[in-house]
Amino acid sequence: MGLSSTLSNALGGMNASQRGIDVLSRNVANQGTPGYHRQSLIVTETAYGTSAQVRTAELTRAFNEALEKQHLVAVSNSGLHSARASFLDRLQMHIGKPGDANSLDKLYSSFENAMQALATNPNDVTTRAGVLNHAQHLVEQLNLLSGAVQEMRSEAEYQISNAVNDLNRNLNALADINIRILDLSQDETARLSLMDERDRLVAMIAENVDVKVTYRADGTVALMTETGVGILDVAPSQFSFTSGGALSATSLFSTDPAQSGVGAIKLRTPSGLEIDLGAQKLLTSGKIAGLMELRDNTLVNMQDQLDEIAAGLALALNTVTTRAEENAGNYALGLDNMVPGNSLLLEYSEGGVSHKVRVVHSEDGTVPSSPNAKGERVIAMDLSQPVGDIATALGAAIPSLAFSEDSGQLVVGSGTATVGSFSSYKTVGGNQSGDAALNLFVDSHGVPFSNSLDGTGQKLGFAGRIKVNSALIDNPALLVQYDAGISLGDPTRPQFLLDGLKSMQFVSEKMTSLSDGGVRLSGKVNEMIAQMINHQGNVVARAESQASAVNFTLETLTQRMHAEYGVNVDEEMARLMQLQNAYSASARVVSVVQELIDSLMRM
Amino acid sequence: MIVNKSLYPVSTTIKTITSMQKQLESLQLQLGTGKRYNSLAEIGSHRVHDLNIRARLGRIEGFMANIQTVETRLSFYTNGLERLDEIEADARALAVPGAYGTDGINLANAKNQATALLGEVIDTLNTDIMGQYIFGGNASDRKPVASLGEILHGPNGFVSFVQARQTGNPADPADLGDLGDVDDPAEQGIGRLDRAVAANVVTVSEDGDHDRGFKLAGGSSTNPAITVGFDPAAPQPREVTVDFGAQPEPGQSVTILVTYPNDRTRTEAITLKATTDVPPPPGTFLIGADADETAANFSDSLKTSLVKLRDTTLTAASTYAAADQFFTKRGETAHPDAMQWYQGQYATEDGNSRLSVSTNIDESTRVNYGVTANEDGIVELVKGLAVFAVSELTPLDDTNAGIYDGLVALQRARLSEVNNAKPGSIEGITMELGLAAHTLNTVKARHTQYDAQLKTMLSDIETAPVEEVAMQILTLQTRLQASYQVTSMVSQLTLVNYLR
Repeated sequence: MGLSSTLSNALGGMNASQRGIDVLSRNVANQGTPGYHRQSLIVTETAYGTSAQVRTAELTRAFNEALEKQHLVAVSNSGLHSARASFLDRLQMHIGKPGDANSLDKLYSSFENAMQALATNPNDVTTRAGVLNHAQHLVEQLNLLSGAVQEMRSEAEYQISNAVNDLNRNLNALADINIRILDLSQDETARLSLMDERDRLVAMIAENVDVKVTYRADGTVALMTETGVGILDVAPSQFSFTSGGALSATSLFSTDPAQSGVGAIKLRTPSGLEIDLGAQKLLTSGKIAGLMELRDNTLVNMQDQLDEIAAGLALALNTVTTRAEENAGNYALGLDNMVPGNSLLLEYSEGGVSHKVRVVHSEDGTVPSSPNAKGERVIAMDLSQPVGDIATALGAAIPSLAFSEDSGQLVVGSGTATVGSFSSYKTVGGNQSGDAALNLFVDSHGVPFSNSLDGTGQKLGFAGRIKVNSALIDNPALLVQYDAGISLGDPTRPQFLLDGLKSMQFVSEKMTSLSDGGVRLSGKVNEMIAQMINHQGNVVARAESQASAVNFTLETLTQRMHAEYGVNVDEEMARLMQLQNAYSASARVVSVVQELIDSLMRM
Repeated sequence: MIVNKSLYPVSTTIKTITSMQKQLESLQLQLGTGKRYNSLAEIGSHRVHDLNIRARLGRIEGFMANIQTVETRLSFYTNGLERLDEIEADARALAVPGAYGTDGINLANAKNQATALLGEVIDTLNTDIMGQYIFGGNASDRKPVASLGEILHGPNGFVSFVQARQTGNPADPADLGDLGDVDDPAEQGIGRLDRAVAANVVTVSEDGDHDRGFKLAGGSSTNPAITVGFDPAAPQPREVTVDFGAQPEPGQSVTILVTYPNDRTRTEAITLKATTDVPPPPGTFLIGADADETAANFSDSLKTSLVKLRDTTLTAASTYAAADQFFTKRGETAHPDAMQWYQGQYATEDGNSRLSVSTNIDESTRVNYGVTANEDGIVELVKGLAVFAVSELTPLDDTNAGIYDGLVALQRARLSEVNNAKPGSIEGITMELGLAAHTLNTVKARHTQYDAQLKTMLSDIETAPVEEVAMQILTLQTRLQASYQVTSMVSQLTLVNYLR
């Protein structure tokens, strides 16, 4: 008891108020600073005998671990879907709306109409030029779309590479902060701001890859991916990305690193272990996963669909179909002039069950997937070998039918099974071979498109290579004259080409990824185009709606975080008044004690 | 970047305002462009309909373009065929029996007028639309008919062909033509018939196994004692014998039937009456002192009649026979010495020329509208004019008048309106094209109607309804204004403003 204890109480109160105002001023100043967590001072009373002083016990920052984790998941998802939405939004600009000047459906229908006009009016120079003109527009748009798709894949790689750099920088910074947080000797305030920085860094990492965070009691964090690969535990792992360079349609992702044509993202742990994140599909969310999904699936699917359309266009015009006539139960077909990809189709029934077998000419022993999308059993075989050998090989493959050779032709007759039909599908050779079919659209270097399975397969990336046959541009009369001396008014060839476009049916071998609905293009060329536009429209719409959904979730969480961590200026002002009053009161006590001591001294 | 490190985060109220502004922009765009959707994704579930309708509209557009092409062509055909029909009437007017005109003026004109009309027919048949010849079936890249000069006077032209047919091919001495060697003193050349008198029997025989000149078809007499013998079953050359078993009475007649090279089913009866007038008038023969002398007289009179027929009717028939060989109906050159007058598409014997050009005007509706210059009606017209164009009919004398009458008789039958009902007649072609035009109009009307319906449907999907958008803009404007006002009011409400 005594004046001295009163004085020390008052001084303690003044000190506490000052510290309070200090924290308060920091809160007010940082009101609105991103990632700033509201701080508060915990004061306690301490009693020494008769004096009960106030004392600042601890500086705390608002923090809610559950909310923080929720936020990180939302940030990862938002990273994934925002990346997809922004890419696909650009893709839909390239595709255009139905009926737009650059839309494939419009370009195709103009081309078909030009062909229609040519069938009506074969001997008109402008009509012939019109067909080539529209064909040119059509292939240009296919080339352009294919180019845009591949460019976007390359850009996705570039962005992955940037994201990996960001990730490594942030990881290193986070590892550094982890160590500094452990230093308990430093000022409390500095430690709290390190924690703010820590949470900001974790969120930035979560934007790129999905992370699971463990908040330790000492203020440090440990990170691992959702799939359980450790990213940071004291020492950081390093992400690395080796770019695949400029991507083309043939650079595809494969889980086998030796086969993969695209850039690989890897994680090297401090112990030196290297994990291929892409090959093992260890990233499930975050911007990088979104970019990889685009690069390896969504955009590849788009390319596949464009290739199907391009292939359909070429095959509808250049396929010569020959159906064998029945001759005493036997069906015979010539196998000359076959190019890889050309095929024979054999329909037969055995025991009331009908079978279809497609024999595809292949020169490098490719093993095709069988059955194909049409449900036909597919056999690849070198059909340029002697017919006798072919007959033997086919006899071994289909024992229930009798195969033989007759004057250079392959003959099939009924065995235990009955032959229904036997047809050959060949690519027309030359522009004036007497066949109405025409290589109006060709592969690069003027090579006819025969959908060869050899090598990587001719269809892969065809949309980027498809061209109008330059011989036709030199001499548009070839659109009509299917043989030397044919009248320019003869509609046989234009009519055949038109019928091919309007009637030939296709089924695409490849299906889009199941996440995109598992769509297979099928039907005539114009139907495939419509399906492609519709499908891609759906993909874009879905990506956009997902992006807006996750962004909404993120927005909601951000609001809650704001409510929980943010600074309320009104509240701080009220507290300021309180602290001001407390300080004045304590000062008043000091002043009174002073007066009392003075009076005491004057006695 | 999602995680923001550098800027103050924007408060939620401001974000709402921004999103409202974006909405407003999008609505303004809808109002400006008139389109409801600005991107592929936005079209949503309407996308499939949109694509289907557009595909259908595209098809219709193509068919409508076809219809237009066909319509243009049909109008050219209509004009051409109308003109051909008029020329056909003119050609008939050229051929009026017995109308030689004063001093044979019509005869002199017939050749010139026929040549001019033939030239016009050929020009009409060579009508082209932008370099496409429309009377050659699908062979539209070349003139279907050779030029008038080539046809008449070119190598292997019609003039030389008719001469060869009439008087023999200079390259082939065995071929004496239809008329035979007119200057033959041995009287071999009376239209390729020979005569011989042996006692009271006159034998008239063909001079060889060929299709030239007169052919014998029989005969008869009004005196049972004078027998006319003919064996129609005998192989060529055939012969007719007139056996004067008795002297005829004056007025009794003997008839011999001959046929012409252009039409072996048409018989000409040469009837000679017995007479005692000296000299015997044309068409009679003098009754001699005995049957042998009568036979000789009969033979002489027969010669006179045959020579007259040879110079007139046979000449005309020969010209027509040449025309039939020259202007072959289907474009086949039957004769090696005739040039190819028709160079268009060759429609097979039973081929319908209409099918030579056809087009789709709907998914399954086709119109056939080809015309070939070698269709029957057109060929007959060309022949009818060509025979006049190559016949020398001046001056007016019995022979030329006879040739003229011979030609007239043939031509009137061939160009008669009676033939209009036959396939390939000019009127027949016109009618068939009329049917095509009718189909065309029906389908066109259907397309137009369907097109309008589809466009309405498309507009329902794609067009932004102005009233609706305007209403939305108004509502949004109100909300936005309210938001601004409230945000501004709320931002004033802070304790900071009340502290002193």
